[in-house]
Amino acid sequence: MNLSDLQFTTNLDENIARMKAFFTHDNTFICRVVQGRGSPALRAALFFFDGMVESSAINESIIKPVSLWTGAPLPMDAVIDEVLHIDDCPFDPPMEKLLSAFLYGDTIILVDGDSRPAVVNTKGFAKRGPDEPDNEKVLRGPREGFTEAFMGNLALIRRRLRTPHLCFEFFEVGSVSHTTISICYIDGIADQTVLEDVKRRVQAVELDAILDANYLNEIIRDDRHSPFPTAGFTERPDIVAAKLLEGRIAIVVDGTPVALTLPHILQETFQANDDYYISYLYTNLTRWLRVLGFVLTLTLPAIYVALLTWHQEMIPTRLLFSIAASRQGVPFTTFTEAVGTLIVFEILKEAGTRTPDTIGQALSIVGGLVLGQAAVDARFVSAPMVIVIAFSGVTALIVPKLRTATLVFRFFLLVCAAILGLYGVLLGLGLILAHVCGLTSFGIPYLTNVLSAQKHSSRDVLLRFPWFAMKPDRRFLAGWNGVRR
Amino acid sequence: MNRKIKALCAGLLCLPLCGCSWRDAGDLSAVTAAAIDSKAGTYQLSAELAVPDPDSATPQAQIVTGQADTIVQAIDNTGFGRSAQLYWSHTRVLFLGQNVLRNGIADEVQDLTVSSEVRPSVRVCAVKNATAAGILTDCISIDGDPAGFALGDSLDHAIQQSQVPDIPLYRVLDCIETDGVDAVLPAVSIKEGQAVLTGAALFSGDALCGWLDEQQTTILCALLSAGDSAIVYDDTARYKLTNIHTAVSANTKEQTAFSIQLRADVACESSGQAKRAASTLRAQCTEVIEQLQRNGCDALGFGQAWERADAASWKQAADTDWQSVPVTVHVTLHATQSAEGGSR
Repeated sequence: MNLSDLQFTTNLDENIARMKAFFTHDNTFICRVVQGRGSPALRAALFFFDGMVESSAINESIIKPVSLWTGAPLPMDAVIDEVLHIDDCPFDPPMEKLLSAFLYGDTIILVDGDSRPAVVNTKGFAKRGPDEPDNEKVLRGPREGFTEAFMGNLALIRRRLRTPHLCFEFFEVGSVSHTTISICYIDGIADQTVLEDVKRRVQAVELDAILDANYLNEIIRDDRHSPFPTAGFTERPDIVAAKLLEGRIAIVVDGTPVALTLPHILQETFQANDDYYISYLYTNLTRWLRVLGFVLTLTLPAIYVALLTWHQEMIPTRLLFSIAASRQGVPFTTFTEAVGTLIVFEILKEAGTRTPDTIGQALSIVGGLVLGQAAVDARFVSAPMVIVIAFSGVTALIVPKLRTATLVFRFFLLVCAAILGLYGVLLGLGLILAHVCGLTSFGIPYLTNVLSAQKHSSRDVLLRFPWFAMKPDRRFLAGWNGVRR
Repeated sequence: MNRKIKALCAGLLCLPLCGCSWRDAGDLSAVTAAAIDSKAGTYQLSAELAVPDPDSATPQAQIVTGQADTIVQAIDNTGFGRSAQLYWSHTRVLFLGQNVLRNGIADEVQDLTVSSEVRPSVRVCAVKNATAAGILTDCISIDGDPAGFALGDSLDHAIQQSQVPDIPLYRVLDCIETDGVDAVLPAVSIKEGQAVLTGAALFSGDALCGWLDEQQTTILCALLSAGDSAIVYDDTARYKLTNIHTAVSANTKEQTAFSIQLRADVACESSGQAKRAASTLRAQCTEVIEQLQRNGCDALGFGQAWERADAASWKQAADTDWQSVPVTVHVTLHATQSAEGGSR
C-alpha cells in the first residue's frame, strides 16, 4: 500500500486500524486514543512518532483539553476552534502535505465521525546548541554556528538581518528524503540572473535523498570536476549574512549545519572568517600570507624535485653538499622519495582527521616526530625532503578552502617537475592558471576581481580596506542591481 | 589539426630549449676545484671531488686525475670508471700550472669554454712556483673544507675586497680573442703547506709574461676599477677608495703619450690627507704601469685608446711600440667622511 493512497473515513476505529497496519513494522509509531467526559463522548486519535515530538505539547495542548471536554462530539474544525490549545494546526491539508508533516514530527488528529484530519505542529526532536564550528573558529567575532535544525538555522540568519527584504524560499528536494531546502537572499541586493539560475538548477535536481549540502553542491555547481570550489561552504550564520549583503545567495539544507553560498569566486578562498572582525592591517598581512602559503604549498615539493634532478647548478654549493650528505644511503630517487613522503603525510593527516581528538594528538606526535625521525635515521627518506614536505603540508593548512586543489595540483606539479624540471613546473602552473581562468560560478568568472579590476568590489580583494573606506553598495554583486535599498 | 594538439606540439618543441637532463643529485660527484698541468704535450687534469659525509656538515675531499692530449679528453678520462658522474657546475676555481701558462692558454681556454661540462663563469687562477695539482694535493684543508673549495672562498673574498682582479673563464677568452686587452689572473702559491693568494699573473697575448706582487695587484685593481672600491696603503696609513673611475686616453698630436685619469672618493679626515694619498697612489700607479709595459701586458687598454685617438698611426705601429710610450697618471681623490670611524 502506498502512503499517499491512504484515505480516511468517518469511522475512527477503521482509520486507526489502517494506520497501524501501514506502520506495523515501525515501532516508533504511536497511536493514542483520547476520550472526553461528555455523553456521548468526544473520541479522538492521535498519531505521531516517538522521539520526533515534544511530549509536553501533546499532553498539554491536545490530550488534556480533549480528555477534559465535557461537551458532545464535534467535527474536526470545531475541535480545533473550541477544544485544542494550539496555534499552528492546519485543517484537512492535502494528503501529501499531511504525510510530509507527519513524517517530520507533527501529530495527526482524527475524531470519530469526521474523515478530515488536522495536523498539529508538535516537532520536538533532539537538537544541539549553536556552538562555534570546529572548522571555522575565529580569534574574535561571533561564536554561533549552524546546527542540524533547519528553522533554527534560518532564525540565526534572520536575527542578523532584520530587513523585510530578506527572503527564504523553500523547495523540497529528494524523491525519498523530501528534504526541505531554503534559498536565502536579500531582495534588491541579490543578482536576479544568478538567483533565477540557482532556482532553476535546484528544481532540476533529481536525487532520492539530500543528506548534506554537498549533495546539492556537486549537482548544481559549475565545472563539476574542477578541484577548485565553485560553491562556498560555511557553518557560520554571520558569514552567510555577510555573503547575502554582498548580493550572494545562500542555500540552507535541512538536517545539515552547512550552508552553500553562491556564486563563489577565487578571492573568497583566501578570505578568513575573522578578516572583518580584526584590524584591517593584520588582515591584509595574513591575507597575503595565505596567498603565499598557497603558492608555496603547491610549488615547493615540485621546485625541490626539479632543482635536485634537473638544475643542481642552481643550488648553492654548500646547500648541495648538505643535501647530498643527507641523501647518502637513501635508496630512492628524489621523485620517488617526494611522492612517497607526500603520500605518507596525507595518510597521517587523514588518520588525524578521522581519529578522536585525544588519540589524534598522540597520532600527530607519533606520526610527525617519531615516524619522521625514524624514517630519516633508517635512511628511508632524507631530512631535507621531510622538511620540504612538512613545510608544504603546514602551509596547506592556512588555505583550508583549497584543500582539494592543493592535494591534486601538488602531485600534478610534482610529476611535471620530474618530467621537465622547472620548465615543467612553469608549464604546469600555466595549465593550472588556464584552468582557473576558464572557471565560472553561476555565470560569474572565477577570477572576478583578481584579473578584472572591477570598481565594484576592488576594496576587498588583495587588500581589505578599513570599514570606513568600504562602500556597502559596491561589494561584489551588491551594486549590480542599481541602488541598494 | 586541432588547436590543442598544435599547442602541445609547440610546447614539446620547446623542450630542448631548457637544455637540462635528468640527473638525480645522488648520482653526481660535485667537482669543487680543478687543476690543469701539462708535461710533454700531455695534459693532466686533477679534480677535487666533494664526497658527502653523512656524519659531518663538510664534505670529504677526494682527488681524481685524468690524462690526455686534449683538455676535453682529459675531462672525460677523469670521470672514467667512476660510479657517480662528475658534476662540474659547482666548480669554483680552476688552477692553471706554470707549464700551461708559459705555453699559451688560448687552446686550453677555448676547449674549456666550449666544453659543456665546465661553467664559463668559473674563476681561473695561475699557480706560481708549484704544480697546479699540488694546490689540491699538498695543501692543508681549511675548516675541514676541501683545499680547492676553501681557496675558492678566499678568492671570492679577495675579489670583493678588490685585492685581485675578477676575471672568470669567459673573460679570459674575451681578452685573448676579442677584447684587445691582455688578461691578468689571480696568482696562488704554496706557503708553509697552505695555498695563498700572491698577487697576479700578467699575460701578453695568451702567454704568461710576468707577475705582480699583492700590493701592485691592488693598485692594478684600482686602475681596472674592479669592484668599484679598493684599499691602498702607504707607509703610514691605509686608504679606502670608493666610486673609482678610470679613463685611459692617448695623445697622438706631436709625440704619442698615454694618460690615465683616476678619480675616486677616499675615506679620510681632511683634504690634505687626500692630497697625500693621491700623491702616494700616483707613484704606485706609475710603478705598476711601468711594470706592465716592461712585461708587455696591455691590461689597461692602451692599444684601444691609441686606436680611438688615431687609428692610422695605431695600424702602423708595431705590437711592442706602446711599451715605450710615456704614461702620465693623474689621480684626483675627494675626501669623504670615513665610514669606518676615520683613518686613525
